Amino acid sequence: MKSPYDSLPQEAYWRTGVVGKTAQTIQGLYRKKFPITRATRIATAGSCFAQHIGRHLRAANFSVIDTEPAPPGLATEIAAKFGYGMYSARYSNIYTARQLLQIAQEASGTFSPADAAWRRDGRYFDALRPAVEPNGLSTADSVREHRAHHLRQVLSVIRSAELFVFTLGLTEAWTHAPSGTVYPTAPGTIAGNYDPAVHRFHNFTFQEIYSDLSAFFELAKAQNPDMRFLLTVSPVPLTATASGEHVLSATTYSKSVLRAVAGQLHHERQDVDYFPSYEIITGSLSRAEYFESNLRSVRPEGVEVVMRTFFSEHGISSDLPNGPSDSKESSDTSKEKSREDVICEDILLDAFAR
Amino acid sequence: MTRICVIGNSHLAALKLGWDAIKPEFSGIDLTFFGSAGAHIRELTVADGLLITTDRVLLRSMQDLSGGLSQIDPGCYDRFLVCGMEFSVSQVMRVAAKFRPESHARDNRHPISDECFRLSVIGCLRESLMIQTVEKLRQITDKPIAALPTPMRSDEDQRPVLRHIQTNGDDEKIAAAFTDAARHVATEFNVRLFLQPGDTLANCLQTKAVYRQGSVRLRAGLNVESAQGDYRHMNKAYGELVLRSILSGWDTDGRKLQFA
Repeated sequence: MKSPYDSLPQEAYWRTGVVGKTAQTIQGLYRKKFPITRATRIATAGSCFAQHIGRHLRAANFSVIDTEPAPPGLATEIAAKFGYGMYSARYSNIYTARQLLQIAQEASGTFSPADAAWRRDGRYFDALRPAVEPNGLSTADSVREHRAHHLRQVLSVIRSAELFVFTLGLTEAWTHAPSGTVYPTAPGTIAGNYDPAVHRFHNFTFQEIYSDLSAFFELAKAQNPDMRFLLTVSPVPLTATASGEHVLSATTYSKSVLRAVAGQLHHERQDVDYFPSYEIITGSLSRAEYFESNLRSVRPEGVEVVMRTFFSEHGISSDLPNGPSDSKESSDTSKEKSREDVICEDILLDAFAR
Repeated sequence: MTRICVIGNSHLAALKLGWDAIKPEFSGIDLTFFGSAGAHIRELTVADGLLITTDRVLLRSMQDLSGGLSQIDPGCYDRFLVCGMEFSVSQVMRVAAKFRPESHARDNRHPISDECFRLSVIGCLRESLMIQTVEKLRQITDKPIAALPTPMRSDEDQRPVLRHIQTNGDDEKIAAAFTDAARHVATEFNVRLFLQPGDTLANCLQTKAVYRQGSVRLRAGLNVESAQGDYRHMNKAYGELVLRSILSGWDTDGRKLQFA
């Protein structure tokens, strides 16, 4: 009797592919679709987990694009509070595929956001990246001017990147209902005021996210035909959900949809690869060991395993001497530091938890 | 007798010449100079409670200036004065060359908030050779330390960037940014800050040419005139005026320096 499962490799079976393995020893979880070298010009964007990826790529001397470098004299942690050194431009975290499409369209001149300058305590904030100026700017006009400069850099990123790494973070977002503008944070969290008549919660569907990412790919390739894409899904659970579901169910739904979209695009397109950082951190073989005690933040050890898996598949020594932390520090100190140095706006929602 | 150890880079020359001229007026004070041109002062290291160096250029220069001393022993001095060493309005210009704070005139530079600009300038001053030297001093002594920034360039300097800053009206903002950041860093490192005396300034960013003319290089003998077009180094008259200002204004714990 013959079975189609007869000749499958060990990794195709749970018992031989997963049982008894760890995130460090599991084989064949990631097989690159195309090579990535230190010379590849890489752009990074996405939810806060993407900051880890960008930093480790830089620390390993990959050619990560930075079109908006920090002014001199700013220590790394202060620069990050102003949105510097996080991604290839100063766009801060991009949690949803719609946000990514939106900024690419805005940089290309085909989209104009509504209600783009939020207020707090007499200061003005860029509603599309409210965290990049912790205390805002003095006028809405300044916000527009700073944003116009930023968008020129975004366009430069799209035109120059050979690989665009995007980490999908959320399906839930807050929108300006009349225009459809999607914000990275709920109005009233960092700045702005929540107006139920104007602002609407939206939980993006598979089809919407698939369409948004596909549209982004086409828009980017119209500027840069040779660009390729690497998708990952953030393993970081939702801080809070406005969906009406329990946050655990909402997280499972959200991550499942994102993972499914990434999988679909990976299967359909030769120019899209998928890297399973989500599986490494959240998979049952890791027994949640890579999460901090809040079961949300990813421990530095988890990030290291993720990046070693990536580097190994691309032929880069996994014996990397230095992560993004200062190698002079003790490992305990540096790990403690890297726990704290990821900027996540959505953590502010914790302040609303009763 | 109050013994003051003066540490600096090439800008020490004006102070040394000035001190030699006014020394008789301050018979209760003794100044000993240590330093070297350029960034050689970076090679000072802390060892056994002393500041020492193995850098031959710095060692030679220290010996020349101090009258033969090859190390800085904090026990031999009551106060310390650190001069120049990149603690300069040039640090503000360095940031402003590429980044435009919100309150400055609009142009094509990267726009940043005034807050980000301020933190950037503070960071640049914190990284300066002067503050690195202060940090070394603080490892070996808790005696009073005063800081004298690098002098503003002479108003003979007609660089386009200066003209541009003056034309667009940002010159006072640049100067104020430096003063604010310098005060912040001085407080942070428990250093008494002496800004350049107003009498020496032609405008908020430049020194009167009269204090540049005839300046000399920091070399043994201090008798080689600065190169033509060197608008950064000041002369003996500047050294006299600045040191008078410092020595008459430097009180600690409510006590002024005693001139005997």
